[in-house]
Amino acid sequence: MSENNLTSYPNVLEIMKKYDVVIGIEVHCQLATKSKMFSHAKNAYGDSPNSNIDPTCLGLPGALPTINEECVNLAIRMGLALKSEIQPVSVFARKNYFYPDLPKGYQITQYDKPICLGGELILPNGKKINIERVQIEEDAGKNIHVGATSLVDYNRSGVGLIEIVSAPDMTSPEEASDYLRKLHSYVVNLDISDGDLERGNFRADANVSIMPKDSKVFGQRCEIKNVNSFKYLEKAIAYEIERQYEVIEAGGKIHMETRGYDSEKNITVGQRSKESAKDYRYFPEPDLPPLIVSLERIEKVKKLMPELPESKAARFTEKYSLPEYDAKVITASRINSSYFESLVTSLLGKVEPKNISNYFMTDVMRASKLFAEAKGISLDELLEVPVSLENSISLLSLQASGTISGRIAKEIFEEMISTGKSPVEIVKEKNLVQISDDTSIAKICEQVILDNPEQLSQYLSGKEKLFGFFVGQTMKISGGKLNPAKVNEMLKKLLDSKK
Amino acid sequence: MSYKNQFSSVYVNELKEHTAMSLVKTFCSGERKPSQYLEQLFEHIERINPELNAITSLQKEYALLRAKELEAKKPEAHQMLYGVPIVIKENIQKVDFPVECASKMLKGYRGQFNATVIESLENAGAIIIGSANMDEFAMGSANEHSSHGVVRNPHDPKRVSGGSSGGSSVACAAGFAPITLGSDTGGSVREPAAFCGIYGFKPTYGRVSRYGLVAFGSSLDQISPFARSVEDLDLVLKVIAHEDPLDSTSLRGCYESQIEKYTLKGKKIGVIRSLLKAGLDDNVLQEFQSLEENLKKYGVEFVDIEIPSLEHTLSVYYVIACAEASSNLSRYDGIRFGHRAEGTEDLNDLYSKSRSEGFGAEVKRRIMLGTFALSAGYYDAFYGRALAVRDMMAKEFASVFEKLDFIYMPTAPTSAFKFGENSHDPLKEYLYDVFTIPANLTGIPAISVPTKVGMGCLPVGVQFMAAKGRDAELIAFASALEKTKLIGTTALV
Amino acid sequence: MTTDFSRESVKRIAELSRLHLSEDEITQYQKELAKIIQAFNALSQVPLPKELLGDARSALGMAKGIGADDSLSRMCSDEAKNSIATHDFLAQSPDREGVFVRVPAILASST
Repeated sequence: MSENNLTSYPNVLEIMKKYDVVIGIEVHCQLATKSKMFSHAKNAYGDSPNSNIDPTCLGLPGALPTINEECVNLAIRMGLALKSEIQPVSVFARKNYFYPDLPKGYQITQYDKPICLGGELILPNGKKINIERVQIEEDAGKNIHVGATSLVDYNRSGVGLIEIVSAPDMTSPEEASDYLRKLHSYVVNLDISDGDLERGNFRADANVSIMPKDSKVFGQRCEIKNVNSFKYLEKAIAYEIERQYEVIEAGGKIHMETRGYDSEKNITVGQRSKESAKDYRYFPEPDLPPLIVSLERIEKVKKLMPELPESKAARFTEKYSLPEYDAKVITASRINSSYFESLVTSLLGKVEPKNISNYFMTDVMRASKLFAEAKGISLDELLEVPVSLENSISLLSLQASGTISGRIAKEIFEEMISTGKSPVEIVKEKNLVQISDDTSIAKICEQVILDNPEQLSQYLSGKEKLFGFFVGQTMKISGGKLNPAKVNEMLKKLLDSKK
Repeated sequence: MSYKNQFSSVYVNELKEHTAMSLVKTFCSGERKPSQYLEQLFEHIERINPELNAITSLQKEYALLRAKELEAKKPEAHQMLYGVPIVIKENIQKVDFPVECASKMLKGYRGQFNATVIESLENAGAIIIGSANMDEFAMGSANEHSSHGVVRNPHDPKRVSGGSSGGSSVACAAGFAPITLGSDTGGSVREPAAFCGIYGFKPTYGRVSRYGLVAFGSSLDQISPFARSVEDLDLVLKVIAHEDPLDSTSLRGCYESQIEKYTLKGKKIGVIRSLLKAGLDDNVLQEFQSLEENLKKYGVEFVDIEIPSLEHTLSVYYVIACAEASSNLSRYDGIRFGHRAEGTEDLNDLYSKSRSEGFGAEVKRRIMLGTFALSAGYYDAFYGRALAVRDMMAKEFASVFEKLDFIYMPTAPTSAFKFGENSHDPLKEYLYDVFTIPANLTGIPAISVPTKVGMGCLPVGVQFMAAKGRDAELIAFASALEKTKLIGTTALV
Repeated sequence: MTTDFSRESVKRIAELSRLHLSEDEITQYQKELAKIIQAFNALSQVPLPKELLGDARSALGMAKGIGADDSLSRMCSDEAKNSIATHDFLAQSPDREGVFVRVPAILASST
């Protein structure tokens, strides 16, 4: 999307001529801790249903909540990354409603005094999105619908969450997905969360409204929920903008409602909303004292915090002499940067970081893109680099030692990602070892010169450019297996001797 | 005021031998075995409990098993309650014990984990012999709202026991156990203690862990012990009154007894004279005043005080208690445990029917009031306001205690009344509440002690309160008072 | 705040509480709630000292007053400990299916 283009959705672009689009995002992010937020039960995905439980997360009579220190630390970490103001005193509150996955009949959350206030997130295009707050709360259990019944699993009940609420500062579907991607990269890179969208670690709701360009009054917003892919949420927002536009232009009114997204039809769908407004009867949680966060704690969290992607990029640029663009791409993702650094460490003294980065940016990134596409997910949703570390190390080593040429290496790479075989196996199977001995090279070069008398005479009479022809022919005949530097040397020598 | 009592009990009248303190000595010395003692105790209970209806579930098999376990080993130093039988209110979680909270909602529900107090008691060698009757979900003051039926006063079975911890109070008063546990949210241990002629102590809020106590008013509840001697209160507090990492509202440290050396002379005690002008029954007023006069002879000084915010006690309490209760009781929904209605059409129907069938009228009433107090549009005027006025009250009490050691007042305006005889006198009802509720609202410790009433007279309880955290001083004071014989457990005649 | 408490309002509170009320009970609560409003109105007239004014919706007031004094900032370390077996938990469930608790279908999302 170029800088002049506000959005790549043509209909939305058209709408933007008359209306301002207002988007706010709320993210619920699960905290990667061993135990739950207010209970000591285990926090783990995929365990047998109703096994990670204790009286507190089940809401049994007489059970009481306690505060998991690590959840607090992670919330502070998020606040520091977002440049929020960490509140020295924050308060837990009860949000009361009835639902089978909410065992106590209330959720412990934070209401008017959350742990972080304010903050900002800068989008790739440089725009600043304000953060309103970050609050700590607990997750609910899981309902699985089976015909006329629902089955309830409380493993997830009580798992720690942070809710990050942005100001309604985004003005296009792309800004919204950029915001999400950046926030997601933060939580993953800072070890705050696993960030696995499929597992529901990172859930985003978008509040969308439109208002006439000269109006000072915000339009009525609708909430899009339960879309677990950045691309889909972007599309859902685009659709929602169109939908609201059509309703308003036709003289209708937008009603506050929750909408889901149908990815097949690419539309948002209204979910049955309650007639009465929700009354959660918030009040301060009497079972928990106010949360006191000392300056010492904040300092400690700051010290132990993993690097933010931005500072990592700057460090890579300096330390590894990488071009800025490469550094940015590699450090934007935790898996990419750790993969890259592992390669650098393993190939220390053998391969220059700059060459590793070239390899990474062209070959590995391409493989990642293909892999993501095949799976129907976006690049930042990948959980690991689809090329094994061992194979990359092996491939680069073989090339560095001269066993294979650069061109052959590319061939091997293709074979590697499609079959998963190791480079050593492939070289063996296909007999791709680079020929570097002078005798063999001389033989082939001489043969090429013999086979092309016309070009030889042309070259000798002054057409120096034909040197490339001889190189090309030699490489072609030998199937690229010859050491190119040596071929150049040999041909030069032979041709010069003919002069 | 004299009457005949058929429940005259050896376990109560031979006080010295059946206190926890003396039982521990007897068991540890080998003079008697806990299991033998239990056999006789069970006979007594089975004979007397049917009419009093104090114990709802006697766990004989469990208790005897525990006794045998204890007897197999030598008593250890930390087992301060070695072999002592204890009865717990049926709103305290204990694995496999019924924890029905006297409600249809929890009929058949058995404990799924142990409350911290249970762990502490059993580590100290105590034997929990059963669960006691109560008002449903601890809401009530005469134990008349129970799915198990009413509890009767052992001094006169035509009279109420008091509530909501009526069962625990009667169990102690009738000699079913030397120490019993209740819970006190607005006077639910002190008032029945007064009605039954025994001691009832509400600790500073947070001094005893609430982990495992079925919550009613979270910022008001405290597990509170009954006993027939102050020494026994001191003993049980040493065992259960300590910090608990499972309860974030529990205080740090633990109860440190000061019962050894304590002098009454020079103590300054405040009396809110304006509350005594009207509404008290004659016998209560008389006992109150005579104790005051007698204490003066020991060098205790009494000072008239006023606490203006007491006027708002009721509204503040009802807003806070009902609001918290309405939220605490949301977990009773028929989903994971408890009563689930049959023949419901959908989920909402299941919720409403299960809860309406399971809860009694008084509980429903408080849920409605609490939901109302918290609902949109009313929060700031009601709950928010109540919290602020409560703070004001706490400040007023704190400043009183800067100059005075204790505050003295009656525990209740009357003795135990007859069933169906609720006076409906608004002033009396007001006094019932205003005497006991402030200690819960402000978190300060309070004790009801039985005055030395005449032979065959109904028990009368009077109350002393101390500054927050001064539990040990209050107990020491009560003990010194007991030693003067001006107070003491009322004999069953 | 009106002194009349409408049937609609009573029904709404009953719905929020998930309680089913009979017609008689609704009438009864109309009166009760109206009485309570009067009593609580007095509360809102109580003059408060300056330091207690303002934000009453937070527990900071509670922090100054009652339980939370030296128990402030009570946190636990991040150690996992499951303390109820699946079987023990489900044993008291009114309806179950395998390792799940079973309830009638949920028609609409509640939040």
